[in-house]
Amino acid sequence: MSLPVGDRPLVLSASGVTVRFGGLTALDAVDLQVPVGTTVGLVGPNGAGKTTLFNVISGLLRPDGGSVHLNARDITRLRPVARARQGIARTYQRSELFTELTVRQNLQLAYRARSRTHHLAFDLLGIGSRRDSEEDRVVDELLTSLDLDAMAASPTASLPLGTGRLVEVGRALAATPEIVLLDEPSAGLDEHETDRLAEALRRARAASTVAFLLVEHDVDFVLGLSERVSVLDFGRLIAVGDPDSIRADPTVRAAYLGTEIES
Amino acid sequence: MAVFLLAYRNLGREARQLDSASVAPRHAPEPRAALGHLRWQRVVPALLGTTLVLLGPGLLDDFWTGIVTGGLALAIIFLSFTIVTGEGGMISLCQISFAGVGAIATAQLATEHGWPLGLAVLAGGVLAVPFGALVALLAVRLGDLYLGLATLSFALLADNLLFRIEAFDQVGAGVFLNRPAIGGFTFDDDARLYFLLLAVFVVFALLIANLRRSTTGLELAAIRSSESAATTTGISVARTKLTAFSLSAFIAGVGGGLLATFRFLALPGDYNALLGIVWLAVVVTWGIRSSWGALVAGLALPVIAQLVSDNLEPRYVLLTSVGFGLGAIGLAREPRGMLALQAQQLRILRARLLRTRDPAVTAEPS
Repeated sequence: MSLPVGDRPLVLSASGVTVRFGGLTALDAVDLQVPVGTTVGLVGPNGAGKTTLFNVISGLLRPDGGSVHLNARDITRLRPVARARQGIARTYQRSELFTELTVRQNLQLAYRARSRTHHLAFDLLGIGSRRDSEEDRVVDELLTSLDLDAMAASPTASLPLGTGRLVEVGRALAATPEIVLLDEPSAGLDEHETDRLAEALRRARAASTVAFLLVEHDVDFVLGLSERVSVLDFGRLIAVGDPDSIRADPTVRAAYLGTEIES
Repeated sequence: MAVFLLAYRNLGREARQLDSASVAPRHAPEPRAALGHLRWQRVVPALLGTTLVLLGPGLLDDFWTGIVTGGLALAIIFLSFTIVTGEGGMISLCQISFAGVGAIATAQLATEHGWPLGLAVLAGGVLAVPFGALVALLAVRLGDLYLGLATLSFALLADNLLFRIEAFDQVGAGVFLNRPAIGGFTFDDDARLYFLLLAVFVVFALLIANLRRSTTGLELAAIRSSESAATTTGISVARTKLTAFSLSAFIAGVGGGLLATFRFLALPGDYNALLGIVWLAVVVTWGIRSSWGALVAGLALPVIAQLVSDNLEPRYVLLTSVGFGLGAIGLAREPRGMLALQAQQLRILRARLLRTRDPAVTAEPS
């Protein structure tokens, strides 16, 4: 994507999103824009509303106000399944893998959910789920780029946490989505695994027009990957900008970053 | 009773030792690739089982042939649990009502309206599907425990509203039902019916095996693991659960019709909610995840009941249910049921034997 970030069309935009839990305002008229093929970081202290915003975008949570658009189409009223099929994929803070399936099956299923219809009658007769070569290509490429080839046939229940996170990212990408919401993907990963993840995300972005919305505690990881960063604090958006200006922003430093990035 | 409980305590202790010895998480499914060198342990019991099932009526006298034939009809109904609970991960206590609908519909169509029996049985299965779909609507909205309660109330509702209708119940006499016939060949002999039921069972078991490997099967497994991740991956939980329930209702309906034709009688009282709970406990005991589990459960239930009533005083008859209740509790040890537990113990035994012979081979935790 050669266009400067500001000129790219928006793949996702949330405007005025408000969520209240009882008396608590978790999100207060939050606006967020993700241009096509762009990585947008979303940072903020614990309880700032990052995961709540993710749940609103992926449809698990109905907002009290505001709207969400995907490719300029209003999806505020769509169910999570419909949103997923239109191109929103996500990972979870706590692992939500399909633990009874193998690594490869996790990815295959995500690919099929987005791009294939299947019929019960064919499934019963055993002719419904023949491999197609495009599926194999997408899944194999992802397995290789995430360095998961060796464990493709292992059930995900037996994987270590870090590997599990990579599988979750792989599953999100296997759906060939427009945008992937990554909820703290590097939590629990060691340095090597974090590098592998960052590399895989860069490669995925280079190879397609997929956009990422990235929530992360590891500030260096976010600022290193993102082209634009939004900062949430107590349910309000307090800053938007490129990583350098966010690093320098005094409000942000006061609210969140503090000494963490001075290293 | 005390003996039972003591035995269980000891079993539990042994199981804990086994578990602490194994490194892998207990509920982790076995990696299929790793089973390559253990394949004989699957093939040999399967061959043995197949031989026994095929020889069955030849080895037994007429009386026991009748008992196991009824058991096969039950086994077909039990396959419906394999789908909805084993694959779908949903607790359903109303599969017996679907079987009852199948039995009643078959009797009405065949006896009252003169339909050929095979067609009536199929129609009974089809008529059970809307009931399954109705329950599926509940399944989408409710969590595990509430679904269990809701299906139980559905079964009680069927008992009290549908099964009490005079045309079906005939003041407790039920409706007579003939055995099937193809051309001049009738299945009035139990041994003949046995092989017909076996064929039906095998067809359903093969369809389920296909389903398990298919995209729908993967989707069911995904929903069992994480419903929210399944929806945000684009898997329709509602549609998948609807599929599982409808299919299970069809199988239960067909099985109910076949059970009724075995008994020459469609008596709605035979399909009451409480018996349905015993059925689930029996299937769960033998293995809810495999068709073999359903087969053994179906055969075991009438055989054990007959053995108990032959050898024990009537007041001990309840022991059968107690036994299966305890069996269901034993699930804490091996969620895949008795058959899987035996397989696991075979593997441990083999590992021990190998270790005594060759110290280099270490026991593998399963």
